Amino acid sequence: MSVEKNITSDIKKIKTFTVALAGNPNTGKTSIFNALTHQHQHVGNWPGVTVEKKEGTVYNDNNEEVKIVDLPGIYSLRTRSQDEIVASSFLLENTPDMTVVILDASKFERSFYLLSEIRELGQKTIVVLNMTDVANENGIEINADKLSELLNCPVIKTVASNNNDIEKLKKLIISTLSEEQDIIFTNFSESVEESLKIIENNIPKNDFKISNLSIAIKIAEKDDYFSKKFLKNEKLNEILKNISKEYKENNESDLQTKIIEDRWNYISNICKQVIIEKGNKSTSTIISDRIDKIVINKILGLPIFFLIIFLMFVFVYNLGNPIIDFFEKFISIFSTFTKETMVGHNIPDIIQSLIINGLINGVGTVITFFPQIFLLFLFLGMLEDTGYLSRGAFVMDRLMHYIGLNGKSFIPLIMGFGCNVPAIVGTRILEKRRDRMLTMLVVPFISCSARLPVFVLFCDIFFKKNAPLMIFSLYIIGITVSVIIAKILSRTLFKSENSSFVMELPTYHIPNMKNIINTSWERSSEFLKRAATFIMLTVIIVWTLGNLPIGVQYASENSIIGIIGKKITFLFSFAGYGFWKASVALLTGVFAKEAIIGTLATLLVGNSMTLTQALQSTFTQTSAYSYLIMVLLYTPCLPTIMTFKSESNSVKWTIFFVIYTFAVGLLISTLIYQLINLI
Amino acid sequence: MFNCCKSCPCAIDFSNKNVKRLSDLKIGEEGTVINVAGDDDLRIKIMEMGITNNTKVKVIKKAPLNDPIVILLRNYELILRKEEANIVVIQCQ
Repeated sequence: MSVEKNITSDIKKIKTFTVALAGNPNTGKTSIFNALTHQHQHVGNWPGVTVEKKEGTVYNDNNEEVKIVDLPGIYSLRTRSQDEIVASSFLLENTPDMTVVILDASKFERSFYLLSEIRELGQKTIVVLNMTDVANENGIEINADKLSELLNCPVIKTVASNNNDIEKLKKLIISTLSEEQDIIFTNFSESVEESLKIIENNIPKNDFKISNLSIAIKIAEKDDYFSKKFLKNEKLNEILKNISKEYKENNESDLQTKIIEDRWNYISNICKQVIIEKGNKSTSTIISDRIDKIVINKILGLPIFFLIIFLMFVFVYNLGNPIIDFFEKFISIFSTFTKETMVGHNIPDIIQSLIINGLINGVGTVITFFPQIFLLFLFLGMLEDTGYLSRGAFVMDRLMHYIGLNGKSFIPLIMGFGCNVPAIVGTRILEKRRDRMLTMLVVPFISCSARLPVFVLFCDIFFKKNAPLMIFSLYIIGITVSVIIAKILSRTLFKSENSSFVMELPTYHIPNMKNIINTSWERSSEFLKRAATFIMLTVIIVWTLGNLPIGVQYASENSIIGIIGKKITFLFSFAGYGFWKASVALLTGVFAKEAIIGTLATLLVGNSMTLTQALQSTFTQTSAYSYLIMVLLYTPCLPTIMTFKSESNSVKWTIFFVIYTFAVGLLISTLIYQLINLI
Repeated sequence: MFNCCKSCPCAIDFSNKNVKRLSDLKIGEEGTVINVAGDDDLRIKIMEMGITNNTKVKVIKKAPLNDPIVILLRNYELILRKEEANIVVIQCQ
């Protein structure tokens, strides 16, 4: 057993090293990662969460592998958001051989906090002072030699776009890996040191590779992650309680606060020794301030934001449509070709239908999302990289906060008018799970473009001249419902998780288009890979249910869908459309909303009637309107459901998502039907 | 030590004209942090972003509806909602 262990650890030593890249958001970490690893990288998701996981490889002179892991950008190791959980638990559990901490030299003091925390873990580090060009322009210079001496670790200045700097960094990473490092970290005040010592001495045996002192610091500052792991131990829990109480009695503040204050004092002290300020504000800050004067202006701020989001909407959907049309044409040509080939080979009808309507159609559905999602990521990436996204969120936050959401939630909600799938994927711009879940849950009430044909068909028939007004009213109902539901959910299911809006306002940057295009491509391909299988599978299942038992017409009375539809018809009797054909159409609408028209046409149109006549003979004005409200609000289409599943990573929430939207739709359409009838 | 209700630093003497909540500062006003109170989660988050006692802060921007606000501290700009800035007490010059 022990021999085996030795061998594996030896192999590990010879073969691979792991180096983590850590740093605040917007420090140019991704650019450095890309430049370091270029072709040797892959992007995925961290197990269990939808936070990006980027890994790349660098080789040293002996051709040994150095694995570089790009951690999500964070400000501190405390685990609040998913990004923070991923980054912290990687540093704490996987304990990389070394951590490269990237500091924004122009915001040196702020970015140092994370560095001080990482140093306290006792891990070997290299400090990268990135954006030294911006810092210089801002009149800040940092004495790297002095900093290196104070920290006892290598410090290197870089400009991420400079290849020489990157080569130097690569060499430094490789050489430092084989060196020992004595870690000097935060100077805590005496009272804190004493308390830490007591906690340290009482920490039970554990598997962590970090020292007990490092664990003691985390426990003393009430870090969730460690508290959960160690405070089950009653003795330690008791000791911590006593120490905290005693500390509070003898000192001005509590232990937790003092630890944070000590860190900042230590940082200020280092800043005094290494920062050489040369004075004046740079032109770039002045330009940044000038842009902000307009962009977050009292009068212009909101209109500018709406305009930008409108442009984004037009950009994503209009530029996407020709590409989608192209894909669709290609798919239809392909399916005609397949059909002809199959007919030529005498393949049974049912198999033909499975391949054409199930398989090819399923693939088609999935592929058509790709251009939109890619363009969405591209636009969002540009907004984020330039620094505008934070401004948009800033400008919009007051309004969105009323309904329990975050300023950034507005963007995915608007995207929902085009298609709910990219809208749900777009919630990735929200850092906190609470904000993401809430936004994802209310997105489907925003009427997507696939529902419009249904509205147009019905309203033209039943409301003639008033059709535009009635359609408009449906959109308004959708928005109102999403606002109200958001408010309700934020007060009930998400009550315990408060959302804060403490975030950095980054300086404006010229976007790095190459990086943005790469990332958008990676993200959208990743989406396809993850969601595609589910979407395909469910499309085929619904198709199968509509076509079984063998020989029935699609979605007709005797098909499985028809039978289920009939069974649930009673639910709709108070909403005015309690006949089975309408409910079967709703069922097929879950496949894709626009399919409702097709199903109604197949089921209703007889020999002598057109669809218009058929609808007029089955619906009244009131029941037609209430049916449309149901179409607007009820369970979203399968691609949306499956995207929700892949983005939320929770089956439980997905089931809730499906059922609650159905309930909301049914409730409101029944309510409106009954109300109109009363009047 | 002060006992504090949920989010207001009530043991602070606001009768001194120069002691204000960060949320009440106008654009351009600056001062030194003398207290961060309130519930742990938010307080810790705010402190970890650098708002600790004796830090110099300045309100530099406000959103169109006056909320949230942007403050300058430790050489960078930070966005806070007013309700969050409310727990920070400032001594103005």
